[in-house]
Amino acid sequence: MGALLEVRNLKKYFKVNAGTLHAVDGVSFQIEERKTLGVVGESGCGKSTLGRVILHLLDSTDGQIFYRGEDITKVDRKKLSELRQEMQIIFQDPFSSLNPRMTVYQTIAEPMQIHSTVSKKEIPDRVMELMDTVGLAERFVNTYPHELDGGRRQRIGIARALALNPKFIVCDEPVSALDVSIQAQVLNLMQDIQESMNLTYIFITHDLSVVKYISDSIMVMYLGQMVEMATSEELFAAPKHPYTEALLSALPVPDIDSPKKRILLKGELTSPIDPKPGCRFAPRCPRACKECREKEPELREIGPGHFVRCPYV
Amino acid sequence: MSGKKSSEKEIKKRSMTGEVMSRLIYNKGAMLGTAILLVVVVMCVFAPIIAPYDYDAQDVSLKFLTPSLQHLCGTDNLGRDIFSRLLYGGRISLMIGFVATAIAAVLGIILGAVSGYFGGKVDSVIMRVLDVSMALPNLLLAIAISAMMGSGIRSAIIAVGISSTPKFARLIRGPVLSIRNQEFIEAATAIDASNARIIFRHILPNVLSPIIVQCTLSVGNAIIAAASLSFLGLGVQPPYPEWGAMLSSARTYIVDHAYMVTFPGLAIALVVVSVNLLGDGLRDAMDPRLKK
Repeated sequence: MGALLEVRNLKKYFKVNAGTLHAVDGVSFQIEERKTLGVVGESGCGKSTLGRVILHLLDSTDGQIFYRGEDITKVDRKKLSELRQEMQIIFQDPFSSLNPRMTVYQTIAEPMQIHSTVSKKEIPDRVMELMDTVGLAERFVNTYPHELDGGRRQRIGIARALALNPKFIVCDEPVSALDVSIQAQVLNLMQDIQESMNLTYIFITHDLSVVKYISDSIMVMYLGQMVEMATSEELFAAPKHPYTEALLSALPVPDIDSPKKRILLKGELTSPIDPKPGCRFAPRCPRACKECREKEPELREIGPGHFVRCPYV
Repeated sequence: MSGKKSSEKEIKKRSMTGEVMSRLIYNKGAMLGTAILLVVVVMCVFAPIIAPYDYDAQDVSLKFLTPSLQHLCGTDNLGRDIFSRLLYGGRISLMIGFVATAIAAVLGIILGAVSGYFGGKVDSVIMRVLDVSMALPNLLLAIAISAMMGSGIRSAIIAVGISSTPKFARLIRGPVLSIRNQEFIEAATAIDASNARIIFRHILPNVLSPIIVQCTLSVGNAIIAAASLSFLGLGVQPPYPEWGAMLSSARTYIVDHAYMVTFPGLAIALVVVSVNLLGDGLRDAMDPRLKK
């Protein structure tokens, strides 16, 4: 089993005035090469933090990260520079993720200038090639980001991420800031690129229909913890964790006859600052019992590759 | 397919200076400012040729002459030709104004950018030190510095430059703080850009507007500050003229001979206004978002 990336018990805590914020709290998973892992959860559940910790944009508090079997949790400058050629990120907001004072050309060329992966002379050709790959017309090469629409800007971001020929890309809600029609275009583009460049994705999103479309397996997060992970088909066909069930029941079904039973969650997301012992989901869970509130449930494998953090499954 | 060939031509490496210049030319205000500034600078540089009299040629019998064709701006209390003194004095005043501002801008930008970008302890230390120096009146600080280094033009320039540094640093830090939290900075980190590259390529170009505005304001202030120094005997030494010094020595005669303060004052105002006009134009020309 050749996992490209493996994460074991990864934790990221932030010190805030009110205490310690458990943004990512003991997450473990593996991704095989050329697969896509979808990460879903509501805002503030630590999905984006998880992606940033893996890329070393934030330091981890505890746990280990393995890339091609090698422990990369703590790396020196040189190794980090090598890793950053292999691992890239695509951001959510196509407006703030591009420097407003740099042209399309400058933005896409910058990674190659820093890493000198191609010679100076070849950079212009390579930029044109990348623009072609992501479907940006050549005439935009000298434009500034503010002159382009969201979809085109996001394509610039994708081209920048691809410039160093990475193997692994964290996609942090890459389409949630785009119009629905453009979402589909960008998603298709990302899938095409994945195939042609043999990429592995972590696809972070809160949009279930998007994640279903693009992922091989899906991880559901709640307050920094993984509550369920399964292959995409299995998760949508047979969700086990009450939180996943509630999430999926909220998906609109395009059928007027289908009787719609939505599971409405009561209460609010509890605070991730110094969480109480016991199951994090217990205050909102329809099945919660006394024991749930006292002891944190273990993550169990209930089928091949299907993990759930709930004792009632 | 002609794509490959033409691609090299198409990427005109949008040179910053070239583009800014071509936009600046259409800005009437900026061009007026440049013209005035250019005239003033040329006149001062060629002062020995243009000036009708020597700057310290005294003739007490000709004192307090009102402006006439012989003495375009009149004569002062020692019978020296004010117009000639303005030309010679401009050399010093302009130099102090621009060089001191340049020193303040460079030091202030570095301190402010480092402070805002790295944050934490670095930020606290730099900012507290600057707070302390801002708590002292600017002039007092300049006096202390030039007292330490002795009187003279050079020490006046350095004193004025250093004493206006904190303003720049404070001003830059704010926008740097807000820009460093934007995603494109994170993107730059993800492609392994060095801290220096992030500061100079990604952050500073985005905080240009306040820098330019502060620079244009600072030129005038520097000229005045240098004048106070020479008034205290720490800056430029008499009899060498300097606009600020001429202004302050003339104020004794302001009631009877108003023209003596009018012309040095006008000279300073002219330079400040033209620098401001140019600065405004530059700020607009350098922002790609304002382009039509």
